[in-house]
Amino acid sequence: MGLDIFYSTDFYAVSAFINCLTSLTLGIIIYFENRKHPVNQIFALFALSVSVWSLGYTFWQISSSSQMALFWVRFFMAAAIFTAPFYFHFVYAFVKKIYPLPTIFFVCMYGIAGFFFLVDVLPSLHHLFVSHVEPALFFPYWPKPGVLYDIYLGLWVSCLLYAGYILIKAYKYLNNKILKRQAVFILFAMIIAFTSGSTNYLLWYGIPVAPFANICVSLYVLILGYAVLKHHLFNIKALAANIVIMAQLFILLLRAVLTADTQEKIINYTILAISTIIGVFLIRSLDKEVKSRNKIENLVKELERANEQLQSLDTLKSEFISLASHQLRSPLTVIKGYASTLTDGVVGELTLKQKEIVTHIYTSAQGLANVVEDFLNVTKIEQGGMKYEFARVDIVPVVQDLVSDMKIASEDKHLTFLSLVDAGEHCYIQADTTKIRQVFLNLVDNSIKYTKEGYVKVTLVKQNNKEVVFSVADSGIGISFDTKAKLFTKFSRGEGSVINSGGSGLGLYLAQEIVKAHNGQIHVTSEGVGKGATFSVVLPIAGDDTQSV
Amino acid sequence: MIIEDDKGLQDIYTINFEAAGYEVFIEGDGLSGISEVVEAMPDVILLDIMMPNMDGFAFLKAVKEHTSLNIPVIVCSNLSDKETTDKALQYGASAVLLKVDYSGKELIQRVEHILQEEKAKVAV
Repeated sequence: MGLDIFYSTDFYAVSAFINCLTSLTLGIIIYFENRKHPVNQIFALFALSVSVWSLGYTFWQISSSSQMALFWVRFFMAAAIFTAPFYFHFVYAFVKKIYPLPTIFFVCMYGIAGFFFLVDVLPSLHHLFVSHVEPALFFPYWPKPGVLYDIYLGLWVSCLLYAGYILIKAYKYLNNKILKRQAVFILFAMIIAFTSGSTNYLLWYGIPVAPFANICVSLYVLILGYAVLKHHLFNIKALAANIVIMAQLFILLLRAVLTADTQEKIINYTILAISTIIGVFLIRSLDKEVKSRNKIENLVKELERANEQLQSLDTLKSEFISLASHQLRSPLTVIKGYASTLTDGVVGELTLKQKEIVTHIYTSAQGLANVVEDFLNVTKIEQGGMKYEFARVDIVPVVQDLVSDMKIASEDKHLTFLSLVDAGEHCYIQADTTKIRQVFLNLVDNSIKYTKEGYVKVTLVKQNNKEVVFSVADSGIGISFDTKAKLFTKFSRGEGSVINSGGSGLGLYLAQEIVKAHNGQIHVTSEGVGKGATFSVVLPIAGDDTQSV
Repeated sequence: MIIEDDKGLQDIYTINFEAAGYEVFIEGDGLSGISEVVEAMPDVILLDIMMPNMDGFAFLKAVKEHTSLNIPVIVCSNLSDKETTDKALQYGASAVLLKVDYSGKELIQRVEHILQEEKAKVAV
């Protein structure tokens, strides 16, 4: 056995029939995958020509007379003539935008193919194309070329070579990875087609080699089909399922028709009817699923695009804010710099009045710089872009340091500054030191600002070893009930709004947001206007804090 | 050495540092700073970030990566975002200061403090 199979005409008949079926199936699948796309259309035509050629080839191999064999040879040659032009056209449709060709080229190509087709089918001319059949090797009826056959073969080979050439030339300009991979598949398929297909022509010219590789034509169609559909794999699965269902129904119909027994016929028809109903539902639901999947895929793509746009907008916004605050700070730095240079007496002593004026310039510039800082922080908070660097922090030295800083400012206003740090030597919390210090500083600064006479008192005490409370009490202007309710909102001012405090109205809002981020609370108590106020910040003590009081 | 493109600030820093007894070299951007730093060999460099031709980051990277100069660089910028601070420290800045927070005198005090800390680090 073994290699004997290659020396039987049955093998060539069967292999050609397999080629016919694979080509036809793939042609249909690819056509229905996207009927409107030129690449799919041309591929379907190409697959059809290969399929018809293979069908003729099959019947030729099983022919019982030379006349019949010659008929089938001319039949399959009629289709073979179109394989190369269709293949070329398919490659061209694939690389069209990169390698444009004039329409006249295609008119000539199909014109020549049409000419050979006529020569092949017209009884008065067909001997010029395929002259006769005669025994060759183990084939009883092998065809022999007519006078025009050489020219046809030359053009056929040229057409395929040119297709390969434009494919290679266009490859480097394909800007998409999938397209590039498809191009490689198309070229690979063409090389297989050449090698396998050319084994058929050897015997035509008396070279005693059988067309062993003819079966590879199936492979060639499979590779091409895979290349075309690689991009739309899901749709092809659904289509393949449709085809399987249809094939099953067809087999059931055949069974029903061919059964002689009436009872069995009834059963078969019943099974066919039920299967048809189920099949229709299955096909419908598959189609629906494909459509909804496509819809979802498109929606996902749109969402991804929108998300990308939003992200880039967000980055732009952050960059703009950062740049804007930089640009606002720059002139303020210069104003503050020159003012401090004057008040510090670096360029000579000023008179008292001059010093007072320049100090006002400095303080106002500083106030404006603080407003810029507050606006920047609020924007960061609202964009979720405020970054905290939490660490285990001993809050006691932070408050002690702050107390010594602020004592000077309160004494400048002739206020009594009291401090009671009753949290032990150490009290650890999880905090961003800079930001929590900013909150405390803001509260003490407010108290000093809104207290004309009396005292400002800062305390730090522990509550149940679970919380630490920082509070600032003063004998200042106090807060009315109405004002208290909106004190921590943006742009709100205390009773001191009558006083030009120079603040942004954002300080307490910022303090509240920062305290919230520390899992703490901020609140205010006041018995009313003119009766002072107490601001308290409650923060949780860090879990493993064992050192206390 | 002060690398700063704002003429007003160049003036302010020069007046204050000279009054405090320092010799001051002023450069308007990173590129001219790079070409002068080897010759001037300053004790400290105050560096702005947003400048034409070569920004502060590029200058800092070049000085720290491509020269054997061990000069402390203090970044003085009006950019306060965390990315700027982190990047500057990552590139080898000794400290990052927000310009608007400092008067002339305060800046000198802060710079001297940073230099002392740097010296202490080297001594350790």
